[in-house]
Amino acid sequence: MSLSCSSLLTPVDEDREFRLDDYEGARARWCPGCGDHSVLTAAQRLLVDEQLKPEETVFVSGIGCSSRFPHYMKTYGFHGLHGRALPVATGVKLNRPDLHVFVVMGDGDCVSIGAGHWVHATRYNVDMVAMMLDNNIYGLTKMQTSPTTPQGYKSNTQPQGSWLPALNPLEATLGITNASFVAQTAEWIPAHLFATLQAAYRHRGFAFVRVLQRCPVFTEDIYLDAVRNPEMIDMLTHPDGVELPESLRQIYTSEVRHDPKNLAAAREIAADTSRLRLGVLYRDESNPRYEETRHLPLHTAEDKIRILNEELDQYAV
Amino acid sequence: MRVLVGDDTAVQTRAEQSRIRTTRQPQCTVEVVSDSGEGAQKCGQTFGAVSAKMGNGVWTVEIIPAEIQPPPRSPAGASGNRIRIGEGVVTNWGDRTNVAIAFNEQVLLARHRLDAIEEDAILLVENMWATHKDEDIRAEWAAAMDELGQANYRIIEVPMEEECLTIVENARKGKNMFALGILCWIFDRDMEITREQIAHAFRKKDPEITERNHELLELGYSWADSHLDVRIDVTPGLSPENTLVMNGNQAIAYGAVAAGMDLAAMYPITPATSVSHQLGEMFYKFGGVVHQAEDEIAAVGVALGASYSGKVAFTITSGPGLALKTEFLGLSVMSEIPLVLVNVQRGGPSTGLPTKVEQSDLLAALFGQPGDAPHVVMAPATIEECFHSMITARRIAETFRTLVMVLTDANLATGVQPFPRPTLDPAWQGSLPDMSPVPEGKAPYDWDEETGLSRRFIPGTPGGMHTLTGLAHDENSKVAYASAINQKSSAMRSRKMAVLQSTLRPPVVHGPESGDLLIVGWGSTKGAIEEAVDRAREEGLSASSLHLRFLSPLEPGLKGIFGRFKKVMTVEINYSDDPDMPYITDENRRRGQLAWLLRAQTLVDVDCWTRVLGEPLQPGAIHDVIRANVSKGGAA
Amino acid sequence: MPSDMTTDERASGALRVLEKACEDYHSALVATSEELRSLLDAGSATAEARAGRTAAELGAFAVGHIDIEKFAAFERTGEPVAVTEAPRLEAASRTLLSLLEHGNDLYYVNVDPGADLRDAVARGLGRAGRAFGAARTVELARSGKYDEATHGGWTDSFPPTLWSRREKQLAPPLVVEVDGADLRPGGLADFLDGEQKIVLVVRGVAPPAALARLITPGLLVVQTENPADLGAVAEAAGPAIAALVPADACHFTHSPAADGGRGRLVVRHMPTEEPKRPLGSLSVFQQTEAMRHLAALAAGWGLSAPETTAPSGDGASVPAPAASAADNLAAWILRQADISGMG
Ligand SMILES: Cc1ncc(C[n+]2csc(CCOP(=O)(O)OP(=O)(O)O)c2C)c(N)n1
Ligand code: SF4
Ligand SMILES: [Mg+2]
Repeated sequence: MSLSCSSLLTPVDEDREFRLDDYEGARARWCPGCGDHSVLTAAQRLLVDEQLKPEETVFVSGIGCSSRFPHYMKTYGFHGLHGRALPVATGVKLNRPDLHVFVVMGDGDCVSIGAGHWVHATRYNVDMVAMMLDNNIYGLTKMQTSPTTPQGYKSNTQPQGSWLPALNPLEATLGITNASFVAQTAEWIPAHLFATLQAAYRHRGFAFVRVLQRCPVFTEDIYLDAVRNPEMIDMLTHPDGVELPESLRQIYTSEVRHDPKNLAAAREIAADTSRLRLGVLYRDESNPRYEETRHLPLHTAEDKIRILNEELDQYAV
Repeated sequence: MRVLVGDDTAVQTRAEQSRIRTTRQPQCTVEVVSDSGEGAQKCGQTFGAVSAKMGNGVWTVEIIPAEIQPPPRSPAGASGNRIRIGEGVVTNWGDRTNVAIAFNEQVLLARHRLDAIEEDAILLVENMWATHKDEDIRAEWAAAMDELGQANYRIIEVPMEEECLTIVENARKGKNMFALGILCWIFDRDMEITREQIAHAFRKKDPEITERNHELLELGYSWADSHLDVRIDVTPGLSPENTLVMNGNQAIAYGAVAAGMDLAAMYPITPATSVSHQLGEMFYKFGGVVHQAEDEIAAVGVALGASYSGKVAFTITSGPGLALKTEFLGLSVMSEIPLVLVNVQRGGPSTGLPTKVEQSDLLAALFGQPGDAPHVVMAPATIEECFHSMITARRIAETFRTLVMVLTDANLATGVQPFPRPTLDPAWQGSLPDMSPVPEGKAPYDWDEETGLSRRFIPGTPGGMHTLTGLAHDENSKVAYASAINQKSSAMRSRKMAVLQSTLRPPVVHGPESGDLLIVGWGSTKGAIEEAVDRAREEGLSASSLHLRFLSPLEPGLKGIFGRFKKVMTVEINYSDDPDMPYITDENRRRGQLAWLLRAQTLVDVDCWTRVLGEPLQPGAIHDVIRANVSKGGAA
Repeated sequence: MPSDMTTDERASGALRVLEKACEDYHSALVATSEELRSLLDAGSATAEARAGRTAAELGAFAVGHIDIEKFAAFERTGEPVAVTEAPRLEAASRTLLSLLEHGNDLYYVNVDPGADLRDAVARGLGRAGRAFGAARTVELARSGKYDEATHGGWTDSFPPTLWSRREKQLAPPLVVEVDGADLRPGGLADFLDGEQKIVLVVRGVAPPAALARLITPGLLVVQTENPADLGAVAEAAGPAIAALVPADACHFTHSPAADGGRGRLVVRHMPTEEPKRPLGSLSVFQQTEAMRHLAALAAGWGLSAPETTAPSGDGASVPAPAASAADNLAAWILRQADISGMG
């Protein structure tokens, strides 16, 4: 980790230890039973575990139910525009590689209106964690079809049922050149969610995590079976991805060893939607990261003026 | 009159040389035109740069083909440069051309038909087409020469191809330097400087290319020396000491560096793109980075994210890109994240005239963001100001936590002009944003009730954690829909503009402070307007002009100044209805954009004269407008 | 004072490899000194001085268009620092500027023959670390907590023992030139924390496995003849140390494992013979012990976790060990003999 762009000036009490309440912002106002609550808890736990300074951590989001996330953290937050969280996060990280950047998006946010940015952020591979909280619906605007809405599922905009097959965000992300981390987890399995977010945070590069998220108000039935029947879920495990947390071994018995280095296998797994798979599908830290192109500011104002003068000599008459 | 210079006159003796007539002119406009890709631009630019280095005033503009892929030898393909040089400072591209050198007769015809050529101009034209093996071409040549012959030009045929072939195999690649040699002879340019300039232009290529180009230059020069009989003396009257020559986009790029900004995010769009090319070459040396985003929305998003987290970043675009950026610009205003946006205006609406100048984005820049989004809009008027405005823009953005738009246009972007070399000051780079621990109880929008100003909390600042939002919010950045809070926060954002306006000085009138007519302009038209006003005043007409740099907030004192003139009108490069057009009434007339703004803000009956010809305004045309309006307005 | 100017080409090479870390540190110095400059500017400002500063900052475009005095009145300055603290800020500023003047020599120390390696490293880090001392002085001064008795002198020397967790993350890299006879790296463990990177450039005959004693699960340790292997140090996510040693010494890389396991040890070269002569104050026993320690680590680790010894790159893998530790070592050393050319 480099703290390159930052100055050395930091407060005096800087070796302080952070507890959960150091990360707790406003009281979360999602619907009771909304899966977003559990993602929030996992993120706060992660920050405690990693002892990230609240002032050096930024949560960037778009617009949607899920995008209210930053308000409930006591870090810096940027609750920006619908679909545009990734460019903002890219700007933050390009300018300030020293900050820990987390992005929270909804499914509409990420793979519909923000689809272009999702593709390119994946390719830029800037070091950050990008969570897509996928409730298969537009929540905030009250139940419109999203790209990930299952085919045939009824919504307010497609009351006869979603016409098209759902977009597969994992398969799509794995198809993007220079993708370096693609994982899937579910908010109703907190231990797995935590482990996955931790792996994402520790990954150097753009870590895309699709979090299956229950919306009890609009899409209650979509994940119901999977919640009730753990045997429907395959856990992808590997030392280089996530291992199955001890507490879950009894419940999730279908464990599939999958080496996240294996892109072809990852794509196959992602494309096969006959079962739900959770875990790290793909991970490669050797991919180039866009922020590496950033040259550090090595010059004082005086130095810069001197170099600028030399530059301007080319235009001197 | 048509003068053919054939082989019979080729050999001149010393005695004959004394017959060479040199005319002295205070200023002269030269054009180099060819099919695109034949290098006329390089010839023109080099000629301009050499003239500047010798101490002439210079203004160079590009002549851009009307079509993207025009067939060769078609009037639509005319491409090249216009270079206006003068004894003193030259502030605009002038009226019509006095000397043109053309690589085929069709492009010359195009300029003639556009009325771009002065009546007694000297036209040098490649004559290989006269004897071309293709009968159609020979016919075209004959017809064109006939048409040109109707006018009073002095046409000189030049065997460019034939001459160049004595040195290079592909004359298409060499004519431009041969042409440059001819121009150097006519205007008695310093050949040493010219050779240096060529070497500089080709510094990234094989040195042999420079050598070949030097030979072609000499060839053109000596051909002219032995065949031409007219030389023009535009005596350099300026001290070239401490002068820089560059175009407006280069000035913007260097201005951004001087302003201490180090992140530019953009998506390629003509005519703004070359700013990023310039930055791409040198920004890294200063720790800067140019981010070419996936689209304009992402570009402004990245710039905003960068600004949010530290020093002010900037984004560069043109009309269609400005349209895409609007939502983020609103967010910048709402969340009070400083940001600098440079909009290099081109013709619109929609894709419009990508390469050509217009000033049609003023109202979009001011009011294009849905919701009430007060912000700063400023417009440099010269290439020099393009450089300096970036420094001021960044400072204002920082102090007022605001979006600052800098509007330039294609005329400034591609025009090349010498200007005094700035004495660089490290203070331009500003201070780093304050990241000292936030005292307990301070809010992220701790608006000063009077001024609306507040301290910005940047990530990394201890104790400043908050979530910034584009939703309506209170001092604590908490989402708040309460009516009183929205009223107050809107007032706070708006107040900042009033506060900035209170620090602005009233504009200085060019010419007497009262009279018959006041012309008001903004942006790149300053030089042409002032030249026109000066000419009119020499004729005894009572005209003055005023040029605005700040469009939002508007500079103070306008109403008072306007009141001292019988008539006030704007001159702009955007569309307005002329009053005498069908259906147009005073009530429905759509006026120039600045006129619209000034009428609204001052309640003065500001008239306008505007044109959207895809080219800079000519001082002569404005002069005509002044004449027409002073007699009218004066009588009124 | 020994002169700390690089002489050995290998040392400048090592600095080049560590360029990124040097730049990181340098840029933090620049950022800090710029921030401090802003603070000083703001602190010293009378209304007049502030207007002067504002005029300068607004530049030429403002001339004639902006009333500077009025504008300056709206300028917000940072939280003001008490005037009495100004001398501390100035001292800190001088420290930072003098460190900037050092350029890359800031990241280099030379150990005079016979001198103590640990002391020299402490000196080098303490020197570059003055930046931390300066920054802390500023922070203390502006929060009104500066106390001469405790904090005095921090701008002159700020040893790693005082560095905070964050400062250790930002630790300046260090290239150290040292005689083989003085290569006693044991004490360096004290400094290997956070993101500290140290490269020792060893002159002359060297003990074969000096760095072996530093191998711990979380530390990257490299002994090599080939400067290209130093890349691993530059890229390491945690602390790392390397020594550029002669061709006949042990060449190995111990990379820490991400999961807190014991990591991976790859030995590329083992001398065929154990040391026979004392080297400086290093006895034969001490030299041999280090070498055996390395072999034991390699062999022992091979036993229970074969994947940690899988071949990697150009390195030879450590074969599965024989039954007893002693036999094991003997067999191991022998078997390494035939790959000595591969280092
Ligand atoms: C440019 C723009 N278009 C549309 C909207 C309205 N809008 C707000 S959130 C949203 C969709 C939310 O769905 P999703 O991203 O899946 O988030 P969720 O609420 O389900 O968490 C829409 C369409 C907007 N805010 N901005
Ligand atoms: S509508 Fe659905 S997604 Fe939104 S807060 Fe309620 S439960 Fe959560
Ligand atoms: Mg959704």
